Amino acid sequence: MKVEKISKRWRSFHAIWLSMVMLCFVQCKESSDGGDEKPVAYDPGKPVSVTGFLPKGGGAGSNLVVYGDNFGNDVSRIKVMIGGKIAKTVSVKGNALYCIVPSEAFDGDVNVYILDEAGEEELAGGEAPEVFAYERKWVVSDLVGKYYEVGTQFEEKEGPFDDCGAFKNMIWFTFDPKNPNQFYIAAESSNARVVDLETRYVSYFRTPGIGRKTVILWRPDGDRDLLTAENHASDTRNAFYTFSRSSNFTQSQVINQVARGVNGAAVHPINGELYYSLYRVGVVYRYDLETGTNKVAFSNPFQSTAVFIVIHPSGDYAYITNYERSYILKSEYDHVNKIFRTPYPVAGLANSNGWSDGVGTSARLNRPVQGVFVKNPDYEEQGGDQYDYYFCDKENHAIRKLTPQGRVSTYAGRGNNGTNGYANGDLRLEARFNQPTAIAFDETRNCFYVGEQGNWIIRKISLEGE
Amino acid sequence: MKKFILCIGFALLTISYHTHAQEGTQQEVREELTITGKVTDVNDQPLVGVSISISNAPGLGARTDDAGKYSIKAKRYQTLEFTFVGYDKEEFLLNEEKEVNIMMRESDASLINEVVVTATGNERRIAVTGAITTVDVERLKSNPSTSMADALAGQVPGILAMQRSGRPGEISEFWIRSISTFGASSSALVLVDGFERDMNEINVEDVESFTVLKDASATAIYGSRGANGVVLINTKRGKEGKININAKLEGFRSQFTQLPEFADGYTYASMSNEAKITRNQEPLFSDTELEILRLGLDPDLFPNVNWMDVLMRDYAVSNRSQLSFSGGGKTARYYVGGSYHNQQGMYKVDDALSDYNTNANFKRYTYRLNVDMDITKSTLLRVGVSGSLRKENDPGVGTGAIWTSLMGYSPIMMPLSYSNGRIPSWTGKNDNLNPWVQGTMTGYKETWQNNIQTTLNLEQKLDFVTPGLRFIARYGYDTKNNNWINRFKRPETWRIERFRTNGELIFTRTAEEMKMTQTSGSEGSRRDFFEWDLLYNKSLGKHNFGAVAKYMQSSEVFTQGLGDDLKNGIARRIQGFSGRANYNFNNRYFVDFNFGYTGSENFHKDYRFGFFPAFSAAWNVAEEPFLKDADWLSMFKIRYSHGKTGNDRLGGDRFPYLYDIETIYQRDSNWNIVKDSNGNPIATGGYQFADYQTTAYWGGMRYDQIASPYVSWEVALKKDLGFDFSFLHDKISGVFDLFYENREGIFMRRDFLPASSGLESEIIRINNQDRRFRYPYANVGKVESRGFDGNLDFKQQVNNVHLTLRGNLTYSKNKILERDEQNSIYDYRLQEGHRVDQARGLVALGLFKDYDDIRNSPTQTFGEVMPGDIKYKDVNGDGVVDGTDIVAIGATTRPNLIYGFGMSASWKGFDLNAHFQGAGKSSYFINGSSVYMFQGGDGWGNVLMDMANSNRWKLGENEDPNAEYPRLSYGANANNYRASSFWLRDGSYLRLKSLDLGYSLPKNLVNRAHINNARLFFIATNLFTFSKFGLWDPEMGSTDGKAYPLSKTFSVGISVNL
Repeated sequence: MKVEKISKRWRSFHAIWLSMVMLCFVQCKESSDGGDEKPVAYDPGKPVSVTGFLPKGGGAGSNLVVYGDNFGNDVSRIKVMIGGKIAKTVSVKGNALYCIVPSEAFDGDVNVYILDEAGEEELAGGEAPEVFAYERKWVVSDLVGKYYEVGTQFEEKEGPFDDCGAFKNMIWFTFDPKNPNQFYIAAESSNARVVDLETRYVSYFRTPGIGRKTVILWRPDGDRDLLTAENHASDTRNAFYTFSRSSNFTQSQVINQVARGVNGAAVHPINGELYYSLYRVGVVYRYDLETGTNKVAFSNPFQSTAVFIVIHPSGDYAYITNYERSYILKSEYDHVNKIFRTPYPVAGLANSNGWSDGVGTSARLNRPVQGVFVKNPDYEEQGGDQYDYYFCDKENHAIRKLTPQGRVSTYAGRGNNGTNGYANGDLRLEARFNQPTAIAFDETRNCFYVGEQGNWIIRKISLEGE
Repeated sequence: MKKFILCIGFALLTISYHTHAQEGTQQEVREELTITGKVTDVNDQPLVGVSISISNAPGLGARTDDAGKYSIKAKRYQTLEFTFVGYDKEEFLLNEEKEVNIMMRESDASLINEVVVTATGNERRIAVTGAITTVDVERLKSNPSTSMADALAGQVPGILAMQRSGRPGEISEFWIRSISTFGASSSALVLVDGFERDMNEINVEDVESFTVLKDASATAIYGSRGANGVVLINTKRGKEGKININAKLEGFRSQFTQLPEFADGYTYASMSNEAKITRNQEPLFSDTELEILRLGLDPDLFPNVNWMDVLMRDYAVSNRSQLSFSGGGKTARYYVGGSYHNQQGMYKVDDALSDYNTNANFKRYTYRLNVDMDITKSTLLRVGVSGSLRKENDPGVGTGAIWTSLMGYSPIMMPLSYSNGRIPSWTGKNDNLNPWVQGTMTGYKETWQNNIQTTLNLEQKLDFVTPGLRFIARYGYDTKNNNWINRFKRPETWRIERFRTNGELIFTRTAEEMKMTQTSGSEGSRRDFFEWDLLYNKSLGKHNFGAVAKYMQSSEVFTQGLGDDLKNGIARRIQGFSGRANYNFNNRYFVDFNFGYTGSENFHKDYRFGFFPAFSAAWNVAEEPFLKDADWLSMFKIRYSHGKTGNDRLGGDRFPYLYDIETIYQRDSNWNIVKDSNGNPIATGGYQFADYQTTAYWGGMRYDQIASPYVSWEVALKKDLGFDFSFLHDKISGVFDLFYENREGIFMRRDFLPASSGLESEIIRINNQDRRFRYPYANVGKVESRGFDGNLDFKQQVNNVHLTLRGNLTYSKNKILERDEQNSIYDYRLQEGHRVDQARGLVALGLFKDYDDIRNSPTQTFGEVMPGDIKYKDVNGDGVVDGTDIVAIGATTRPNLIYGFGMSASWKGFDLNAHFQGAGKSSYFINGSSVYMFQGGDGWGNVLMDMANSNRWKLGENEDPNAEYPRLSYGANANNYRASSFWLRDGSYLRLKSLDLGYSLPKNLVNRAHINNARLFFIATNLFTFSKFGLWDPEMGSTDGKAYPLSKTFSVGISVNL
């Protein structure tokens, strides 16, 4: 009886405790995130219309936004045709879609079709009221080499273009003067390779016993045998080797000339003497391949810098590229004494690297490497030097152009106003390189090949579709 | 789940308590009498809810009902105790009575009789001669933080506080009156139950009293370490009487006060184009790309992510609960309390990604057991044991990295994950991962801290020697340890090329996957304290004497993670002797002398002890005969104190009086020892003793640190003039203090000794800062500070409404009088004559109007300028604006003025309490990746919405020289992006810190459930803020906003007392 009474008294007390306990469980449900509204699917009851697009013109590979109505929301059910070519559609969202301008879309008419669920049959479509102004232009594309998303998966092998791995440490390209389908790649301590453009095959150029190579060139005479230099750090070792064409470049012979730290070398196209630079002492030597005499041509303004030498096809002058000093010098040829004179700066300012276009020393470079002279038909009328010099500006991730008048401009790379990367397309608007180092111009096919130390592939700069 | 267990625990405790009570009553039922009666007040009105209990017997006792009647079972010769809040306790010894009627008197709660806790025990407020503030602990309770320091700002005159981060578990910094030193530590000494302990380990519900000692007279007795002020906290102890149970449960909903708001992707992209174009550069995004972005057609390359929304919840739910029991009898009394506090972080946690919690959670458990035992009639032993466990959780990369990313990631930088499921990251670095990955995929970090504190206190009355003499011995032993386990992992991350090739994305891996790895560590310390006091009080007629002699020693030893430096294992010891003598005549004239003589092991033995005397006097004007009858004046007292205190905390340096000798090794530019291929350091600076072609090299030796044997205490001379007053029967009351402090002998390294002194030095530039090695230390700095603090309360009763208005204010200003610094021909470049931590920068004169303006202005040497760039003042008039034109601007980051005001009102069962808090006289520079828009030049750094929509300078649109922000630039802009008055912001603010609404359930209702009092309450904190600064919460004082913001909380709870 009494107990019952007490428990009655406690009842309200317990109720309070209970409510306090409940308070501990106060938890509110998270509201789920709304996110963007999903665009509506294609409505078969309504017509598909195309009202316009942006930009109004451009070349292959450009982004194109097409406006209209009732495009649906399924990329697999949409087909965009530009100039009769199928354009790759990236995404679609009801009244707009994003596609890539295809190659050879010369006619420029823009059509959008809705496909059936299987993605085959066209159900409806519309045509834009205007025509896309398609331009054919120079673009960057891939030539050969596998792009590795994960660097550690890197492979290097002999094989056809689609199965030859990647190219590390490329530094110097050179075409075989007797075979315009083949160019050779010097790749520092990595294997030197040969790219055959006709068979689309990459093979090794084996140089047993020779270590790091930063240059490959050709003897001026006879069979045009191959010449390469070992870039070593010994004061007592020979550096130059000849590989005979007759042995299909398998037999080598050492030239008896000690040289340490040879980075750049070139053979005079007219008189045939060999010029080479020494890293540590900063001197360019002249070596006579016939007599074996060796003498100093000139001193480079700086020591401890890699110096690359590219001689003008006429033999009138050479560009002396100071890699670590980020500038290019010009050395005129003394046709009487058959030797290059002391050089003077023509592009960039020594020791001040940067990226800026301009004339002579007001331009800024950042670790330039190989360059190539390319004949410019525009110069034919005015006479004089007919060649522009295109060179790899490695740390600016661009191909620069130096005119005979000394104007430096950026020819390709740094697309989207950026720096390094891997993107193809319009030379300046889209394309990006990553440490382009080696370059060659293919006169037969009218295009450039560019070797990148950052992306490990060889790129091609050519007129679209070629 | 833990919450659940805890609650069940509470419930079980209560239930078991009931059964126990029932058994007790049934066994003794034979001898019991039933006593009934009525309790009334002096006006014969019945008192409802008076507690009646039997002295020295367990049980909840009984309560009076609506008519003031009660009934209780008791035995003969037991004593009935009648207690009621606001009334004096009544006792009644039972004999034959069956009916006991009692009249209770209201207790005299006037300010004169208020008791103040001081360094040497409790004193009546009237007798206090120093500047002492007693804090109403109730007002600290509404703060939802676990840290008591968070609640101090604006509540306590004389305390300046700021909360720098709102991350659960973070604690506020606070200092008393002013920062008067730039050398050593500026934090106050906090004594909990008499010993130096961490204030934030205490559950606020366990606090009995909270007192701040501000001037020399009150703190000289602490000799050492009193210089920065002292906080005394005493915890609750049991009182004789029936058991008293207090329980409180509170649930919180917290959300950020203010989260920085960022521009959306389209705005960001357009602005970055603008930044490029306006500086004659090519735009970053083509029109087509902007269009793709606007239409959301490429979520991989052109996403539009609001990172704050992605990672931050709208609110977090937290709770805290506490339970305490107290009571006791004549011979022993107890207080037992426990609390649990659970604060949830604001990060969104994806349960699908991990089966552990990655949120920034914080949990704290505390317990406390205080027992007082009367061993003999004159001997009292007090034992206290308390402890706490703090647990913190954080995502693997840590909160700092998350906020760096949150402010760094622009909306278009990267998506949450690419459409093929790959995880993006800007670079491979941890704080460059995107915030969502950081918050959910980097593992988690656990940190916990254990504390156990033990206090023994023996109090012996020595009346048999001479009446009024007492002896107290105290011993304390504390241990503490911190542990952390960091379980870190990260996913494989990728980035994509800026442009699609043939419509496809091109990926590059930025970092490979890292499986979960574990690192752990710990640190710990133990402390022991020993003190004894001899106290003497004597009254001879109107003459009252008092004297105290005190001895103290303490030591602190680090017990874990000592490393190999022998110094680290040596205890930090302090020893001191102090005393006090006071006299007052008829409670009217008071004089007080006290001193501390303290030694610190940090100093050489000849300079080890410091003597810190203080003198104070007070005149209680209201007690003068000519005013004694003045009804309007309850109290008016004038106080003055003058004295010295010391500070021995030298920052991290120990034993500066010892020199260090090292073998000379080769070092690199970052002062790291260079190792040879075998990993051995390379000796240098020595001599080759060997003959030709053999080796016997002996490395050199040198001073790594020159001894500074003369280093001694930092001494503060403090003066304080104070007024305590209370008018119209305590209707208006307040305290006002003017203070002055002169800090001398501030400890610092002699960085600018001339080479002619012969001392070798080495200046190494590490992280853009000159580090100087081997220079000695000395007591060279001098800082003066002055200011005032005070509070004013006004109480009024209108009908049934009790109203209290109160306000308090602390203002201080300091000035460096001497400091070892580089001389300059310009006075304004010296720190001398300015505040400690004074902000410095160029004076901005607005923006350049046009090129003519640039040509006609002094040349600015920081970089090329264009119209719309910041124009600076050429302070020294040399025609060039450069580093020499940097002057003191604004105030200091930490506020020099803190104020608070509030009101409380109660009506019947309702009570309302509002408290505003503000800070002024503070300023700071804003900078960082969000403020200096596009500074990185690589896409890193988000743009604040506020800045995007502001009246900023725009070429051709808004070329206003007074625009809010300068011409945009992409990449570093050395001219605009530097400390100047342009980027200086006023840190003052005023906020409704707390709003507390309570309802006490009617007595007659709750009494039936044996509950004395039950109160339901609702508390809102940081409800709104007024500030000129709008980018993020001004209280944090953050320069770049990269901190966990403070919270706005709403809580509901119930507190029950039975």
